Amino acid sequence: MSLRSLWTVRQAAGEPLAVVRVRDLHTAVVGPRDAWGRKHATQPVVISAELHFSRPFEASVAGDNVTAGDTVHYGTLSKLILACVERSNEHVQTRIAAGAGAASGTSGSTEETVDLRVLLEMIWIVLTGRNVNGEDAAPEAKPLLDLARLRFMSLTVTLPKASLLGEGVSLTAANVFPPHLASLSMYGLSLKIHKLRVPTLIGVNANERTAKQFVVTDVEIDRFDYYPDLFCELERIVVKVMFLSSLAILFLFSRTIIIATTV
Amino acid sequence: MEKSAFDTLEALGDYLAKAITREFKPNPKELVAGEEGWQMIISMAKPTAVPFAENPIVEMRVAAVP
Repeated sequence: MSLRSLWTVRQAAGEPLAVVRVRDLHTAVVGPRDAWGRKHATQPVVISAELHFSRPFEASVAGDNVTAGDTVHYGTLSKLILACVERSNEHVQTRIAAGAGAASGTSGSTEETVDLRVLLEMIWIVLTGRNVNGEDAAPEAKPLLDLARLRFMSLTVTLPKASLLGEGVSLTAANVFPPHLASLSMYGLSLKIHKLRVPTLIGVNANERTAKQFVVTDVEIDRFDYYPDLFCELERIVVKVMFLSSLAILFLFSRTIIIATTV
Repeated sequence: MEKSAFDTLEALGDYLAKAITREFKPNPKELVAGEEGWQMIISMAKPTAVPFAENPIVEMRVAAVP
């Protein structure tokens, strides 16, 4: 599978015929960093899954059931996601108790802690049997989903309290499974910091020079296939830039926007 | 009165994109944007700028080109 932007992956899937979503499933997680960059703090996590089936709901409509294979029981889907997070939490807490947690503060290997990307990938593997990039993951149990019946899948894992000045941090993965054209299958991964509120001096009007006003910024890093938790560093950079935007050092800017043309 | 370098969200967003490209290095040993080349989507809203709108928003998509 090739790594593409989330928008490209979603567009490649086309207009959906049959969709099952679970939106904003809440639970607690331990492993990913908190807003101060500390590991192993228990914090809320919000998970959303979206599945586009390649065929309409025919058998399930005819039989008025969810066992025909052309849909998925959203209750089973939800319970499986929650169970996956709970298992991960137990694993992390066992490691902490045994003193094997990564307490050094440096970004350790994925075996040392469960960061956001690892958490997302674990849920993805439980649901599909594959890694986010499409590789076979040799799962312990039979995956819930039959990928042959899916056109598109998206999973978003959000930490609503992992941002000091924003409303949360999320990581989204998506896959498209085009029929008969495995070479065109693609995946997307995107890290996003939501609604960073920073008072900023900005504006073309004279009154906007007399006081700061809030600029609410979403920063998304798309095609971001990387493991350790880095959203704290990203937030620090964004907030620093917004606060320093009034300093004279900004004469170095060139005002050239570089638009990617790579596909 | 403080002097801001930017009048527009467009200019601020461009500067922010350049700063992230320059300073956000997930793996210092790799290319700044990794092998695939990541992209930034920056969306900025000024809630107080248009009183009868919830938000005017300026959004841009910028490649992290080293």
